[in-house]
Amino acid sequence: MKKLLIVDDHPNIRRMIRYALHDRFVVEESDSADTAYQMLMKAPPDGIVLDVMMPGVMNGFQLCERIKRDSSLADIHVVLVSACGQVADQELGRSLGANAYFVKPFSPLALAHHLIGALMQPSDRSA
Amino acid sequence: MQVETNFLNKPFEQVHAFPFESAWMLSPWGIAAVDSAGNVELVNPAFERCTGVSANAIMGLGEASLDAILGALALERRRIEVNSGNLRAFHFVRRPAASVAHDLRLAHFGELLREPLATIFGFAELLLTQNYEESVRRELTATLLEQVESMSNLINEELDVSKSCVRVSQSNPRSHE
Repeated sequence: MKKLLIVDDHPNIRRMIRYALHDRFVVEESDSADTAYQMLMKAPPDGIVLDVMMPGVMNGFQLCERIKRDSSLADIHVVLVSACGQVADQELGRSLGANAYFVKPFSPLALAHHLIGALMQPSDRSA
Repeated sequence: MQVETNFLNKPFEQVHAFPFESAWMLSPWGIAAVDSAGNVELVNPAFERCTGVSANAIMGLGEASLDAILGALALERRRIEVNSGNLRAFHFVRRPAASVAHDLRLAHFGELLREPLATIFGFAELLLTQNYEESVRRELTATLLEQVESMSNLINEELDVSKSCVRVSQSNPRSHE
């Protein structure tokens, strides 16, 4: 099963995404970008759902940039989810290499659909 | 480096040529230049942002009309008499610091609201579309109610702050100038 890291300082958002994914991924969680970076350096996930505004040294944009600039991590599928919904924020996310950008409030089912399409083989998607 | 100081005598069509172009273009103050005939001849980019009035609506207006329009807006204003060359005066306008702070607070408030809103939206969608066991349904519904309460608290706090600001403003009308 593919591994997914959910990074958000709001536990309810992490729980919501986990429910939406419906046991289709091995899910790990982190409440900060700093901790997430340590986790993915040890064992890179296949995908990461990354909040933008979080307490700590790094925010989601900065972690996304680090991931995409590191050749050993760049293949990780990065989905930014953020309350920052302005076009400029979304463009910044894309310019940093994010594969997708969801604005809060977002449909958890749409997010799950996106992740399944991006990370799972077609034969595994209906499971 | 020689600094151009005689720009006031230049015709308006040469404004972009003088070294003050950067200040004119990048100034946070909205600036309207009134010519010697008393008509608005030029406005800078910040003018539209500060006033919400388009340059086209202002250009060519008499200074009295300009004054009336700006007077109706809650703006910090300065008028500098020039009376030099083709220029009579500059009108400087900007939004009061209190207004900018208010907008920043509103933007922050909007972002704060998105978090519980995201949870409510997401869990409602899941409850509507997924077949969960009764215990899970109860857990998710309880979370929904918590988040509604959280939103309600945020809104009440914001209303309290806004009312306090209005009271301060009314008791000290010059506090925003």
